[in-house]
Amino acid sequence: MTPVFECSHITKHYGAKAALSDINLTLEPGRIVGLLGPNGSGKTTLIKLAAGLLTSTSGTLTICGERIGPLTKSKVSYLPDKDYLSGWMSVSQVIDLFHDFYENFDRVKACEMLNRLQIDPEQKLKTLSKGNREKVILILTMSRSADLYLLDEPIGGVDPAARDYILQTILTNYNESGTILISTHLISDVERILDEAVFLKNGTVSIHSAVDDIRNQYQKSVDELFREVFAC
Amino acid sequence: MLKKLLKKDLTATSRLFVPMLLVYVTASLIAKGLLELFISAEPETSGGGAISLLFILSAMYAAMFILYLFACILMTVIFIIYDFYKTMIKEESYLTHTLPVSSKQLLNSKMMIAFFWQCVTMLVTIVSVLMFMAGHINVEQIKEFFAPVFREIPHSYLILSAVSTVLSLICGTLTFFASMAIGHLNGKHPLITSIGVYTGIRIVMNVSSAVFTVFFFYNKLKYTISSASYANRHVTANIYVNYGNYIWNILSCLCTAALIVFFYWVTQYIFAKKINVE
Amino acid sequence: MPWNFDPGRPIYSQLLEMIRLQIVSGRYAPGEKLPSVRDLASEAAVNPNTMQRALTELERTGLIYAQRTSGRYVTEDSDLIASAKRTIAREKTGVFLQEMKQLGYGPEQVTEIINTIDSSENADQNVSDSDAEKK
Repeated sequence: MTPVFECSHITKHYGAKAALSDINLTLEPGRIVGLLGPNGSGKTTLIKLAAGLLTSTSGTLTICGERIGPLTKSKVSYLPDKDYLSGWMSVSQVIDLFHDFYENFDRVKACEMLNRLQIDPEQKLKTLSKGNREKVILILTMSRSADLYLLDEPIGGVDPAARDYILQTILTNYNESGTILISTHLISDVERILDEAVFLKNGTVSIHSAVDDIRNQYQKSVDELFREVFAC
Repeated sequence: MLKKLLKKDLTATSRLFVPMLLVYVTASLIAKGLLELFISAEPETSGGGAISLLFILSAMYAAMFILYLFACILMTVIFIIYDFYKTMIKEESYLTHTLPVSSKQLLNSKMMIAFFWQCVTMLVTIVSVLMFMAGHINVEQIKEFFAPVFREIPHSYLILSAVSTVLSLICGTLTFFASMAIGHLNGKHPLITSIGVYTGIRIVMNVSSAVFTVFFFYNKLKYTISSASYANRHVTANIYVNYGNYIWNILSCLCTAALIVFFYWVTQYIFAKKINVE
Repeated sequence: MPWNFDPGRPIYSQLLEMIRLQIVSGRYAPGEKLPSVRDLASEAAVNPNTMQRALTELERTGLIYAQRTSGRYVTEDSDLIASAKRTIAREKTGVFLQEMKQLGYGPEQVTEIINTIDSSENADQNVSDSDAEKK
């Protein structure tokens, strides 16, 4: 089976500084993977490379065996860490936009989820609260049946109830043959939904293992292991 | 996909252009109204008599209106640059560059929308000028004014001028786009770098053009291409018929076309293969 | 509300224990159909693959079985359930007695304490038991 994400000797330099050094990482379909590391470890850089917002200094990266391009972008659903939609658009306009450009977007499902949150589709994005805006974007991202979901810090800066909602939404709405890559530093919240954990330290992969194996091998949770590995 | 991109870009840019144009249309209607008022009341306000307050205010309004007209031309350029910068380089680029489209398609849409709005603005300006003339200057007078020009300049040259104008417009837009594309490669200071690159390109383009023109017309410097003042219109018409000018114009068009191809390729290549969005 | 887990042990084995507890305590009756893997995973707020692994392991104990198209069911064998219940009780008691031993109480002294508590607070013991099961 073609791996959904395959990184080979990926290096990304910003001037003299190497954000990523010689990353080799393969992800199989149908897994929920945590990309774990402290701020500045290169998580966002790796995700942006996969999303097509950056090009690597060297190395190859393929999604479902294809190089990054319009085809991979149709297979990848990306949730960035920042606000990236035009504030003047209404929720329904954004839904139309996703519907126009993405064949694998389930409009009915998205509308249903928005309904349940009682978000008025005619509201402009800039008038929504920060929490609601993030939920809307999450719903849009998870309403696509993609082969690879890239979620960059989906629960950072969000209250615990919203965190539960977000994790629930991720669990119940993803395409089971697809893979989800969640980058976060809030590991204890996310650990229970992960199949595998990838530790990214100073731009290199220090551990890539199934969560159950980590618990068996190290006799501690991924969160506890993380605190050890990344102790200051 | 291109149609969807066009729809997206058109919706986004309309928010900027439509208000600007609506204000222009309203302002010109008001100006026209004032003009009519003065032409009908002329004996009282012109030539020696007491200058009414209305006259002064209207003169000020007319000045502001003309400034606004120039501002619109400037705003057209600024809006196009602003839209490109926001959607291709700043936050919204996270959406634009993850859409399942090629960078060529993105660029095509941007160019077509830019050209569209440039045409709309030009059209609106021409219509407003005609509106000012309406009722006071008829078609015959216009024809008489331009007659010598049309009589002595071959039609092909006029077509060439039109083509040259269009090419310059497109080239101008692409120069901005290419500068921004190159500028964004510098992740820390994309804006300053873009401005620097643009300035550099412009200087090179203008200097090369001036050098080439002087070179080309070295033998023919005796023809001073002065402004087509009403008295000299016959002389000017003669100059245009000179084939040297003709060839220069064709070469100029070819150069502009080559620049268009070059800038287009640079921009789409950068966003396809070297993208570096912060 | 997501279920709580012990950090030091794999999640799937803890899920296995929790569902087993739900079966022996009667939350799922013998022969009853279990919710789908996705629903159970959603309820526990865990990865469906992890829940799947837990259920597969549980199948091996015989407490549940899989019907190819219609899902998983609790066994109708009530003896098996009762025996599992006893095993769990023995395990928990064993752990408890160990802890008591650390305090210096042998089994006879523990029995005495139990009798004292039992006679005065009969109902409370049961309530705290079912609280522990729900967790």
